[in-house]
Amino acid sequence: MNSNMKRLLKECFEAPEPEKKQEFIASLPSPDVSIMDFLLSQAAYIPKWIWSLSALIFVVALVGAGYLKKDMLWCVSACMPLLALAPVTESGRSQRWDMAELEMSSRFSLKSVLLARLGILGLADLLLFFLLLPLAWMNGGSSILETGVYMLCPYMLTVLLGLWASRIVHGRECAYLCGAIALGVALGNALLYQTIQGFYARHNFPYWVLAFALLSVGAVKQCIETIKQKEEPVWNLR
Amino acid sequence: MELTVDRVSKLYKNKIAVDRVSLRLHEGVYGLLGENGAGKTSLIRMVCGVLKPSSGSISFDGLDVGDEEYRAALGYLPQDFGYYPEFSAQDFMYYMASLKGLTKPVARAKTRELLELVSLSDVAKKKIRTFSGGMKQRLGIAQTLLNDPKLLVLDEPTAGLDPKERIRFRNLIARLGQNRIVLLSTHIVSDVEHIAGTILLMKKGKMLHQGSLEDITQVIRGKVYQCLMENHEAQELTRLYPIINYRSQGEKVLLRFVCQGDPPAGAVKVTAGLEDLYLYYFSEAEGHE
Repeated sequence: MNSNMKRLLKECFEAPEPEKKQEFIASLPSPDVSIMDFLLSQAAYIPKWIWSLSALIFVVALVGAGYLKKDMLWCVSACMPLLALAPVTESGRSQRWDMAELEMSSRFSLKSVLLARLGILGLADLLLFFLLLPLAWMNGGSSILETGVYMLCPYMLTVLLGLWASRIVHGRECAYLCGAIALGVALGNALLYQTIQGFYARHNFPYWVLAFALLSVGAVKQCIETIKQKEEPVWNLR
Repeated sequence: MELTVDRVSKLYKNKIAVDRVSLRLHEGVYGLLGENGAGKTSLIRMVCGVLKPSSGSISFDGLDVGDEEYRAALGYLPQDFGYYPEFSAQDFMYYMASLKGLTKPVARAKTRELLELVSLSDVAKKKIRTFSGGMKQRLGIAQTLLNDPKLLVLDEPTAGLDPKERIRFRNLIARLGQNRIVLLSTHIVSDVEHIAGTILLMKKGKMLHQGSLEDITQVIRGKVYQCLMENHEAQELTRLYPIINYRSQGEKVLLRFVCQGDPPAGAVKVTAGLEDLYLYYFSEAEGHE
């Protein structure tokens, strides 16, 4: 139908008011969102500073190892706690901004939201870890496996302490405490490297493996406890 | 459509916040009234799956409160809610729509329609942190309707709204109650009086009364009196009767009180309202019972 005809019809006939429009709309089957759609939608709500920090760490490692040909292991390893800060702070974000109650009562509850965001951040950190690993390894004397373990130990320590702290302390204080833990582990890692000779020596590697195993178990345990706690946060009697 | 609350209790350490409350709610507006600490918010949080009951069960059309389908049918406005600091009104609506499982095109259409409904279309892209309390509350009401809920739970929905907005929302809530269950908790007695078909009166965790306005005001019907008297006479009466209202009028005092037997000279019987009943139960007046 051409536009002139449409215009003429509009002029000649007045369209009747729609009857039971809402009932009709309600009767239409609404398209359902898939788990993948939900995950992608949640990725958009992860704060931009987290992505910026990851990009910054990668650029520093790339410049240091690739262009300046420096041993970047200690530096990358010291930056790992800052990467771990992202999933740790994300776990307490809903409560910090008073969104927990709304999120818990939604179809995809707080637990799903948290699992989705921690999953996304975990994957992003894993990807970044594999990108940083060759940069940290290339100018040092350690093997690639040793480099990986040296990098993951401070990360796991921050996750463990941060998640534990976020279950005990809530709100803004929690964010500050987690920030302090990450910074403390990062500085501690760098200081120990500077002060202890043979910090990354091969004969100490079994201790690093043991520490990594213990920290990983602890971090997983804290992760489970955190998810469990999100089923019912502790409410004040108002 | 039925919401069943079956002998639900909630204990916090050694304090009973909700004590064996049972309800069966169908389409319509239900007004939950009670003083601070009566257990309203705890009951509402349990109905919304935010708190786990210590005992008892809650279901909606056979769906347990823990089911995803239950939450898919729910719209909830908490008493206090926040927002992520970077959110604009539109971002907040899109975010809530994503949690409610709405697809992007549906979320966009619903957001436009609902922001229009609550008169926030022109500030849709402004950060929520620049909003007044009333604007934030309107946004909160809008997000409850995103999934066209069959069960709408509103905790203090008109708090922070000016009288004009309050009346507008009262009418909106009344309209929404025509084809869904609306559970409304408030301190504002007149809101409940105007729109709730059934009133639920809570005190110290227990459900004191539930019924229509006529049913629940039965307790004090024909027992509410009003009289204008000298200040010293009014002081005397406050010791004898449960006082509902005490208002100075020039040199004299206008006293509204409940009297079971013969009223004092000069007192006129007045029609008992919900506010009288509320004040009777939740003020010092109950001490005379």
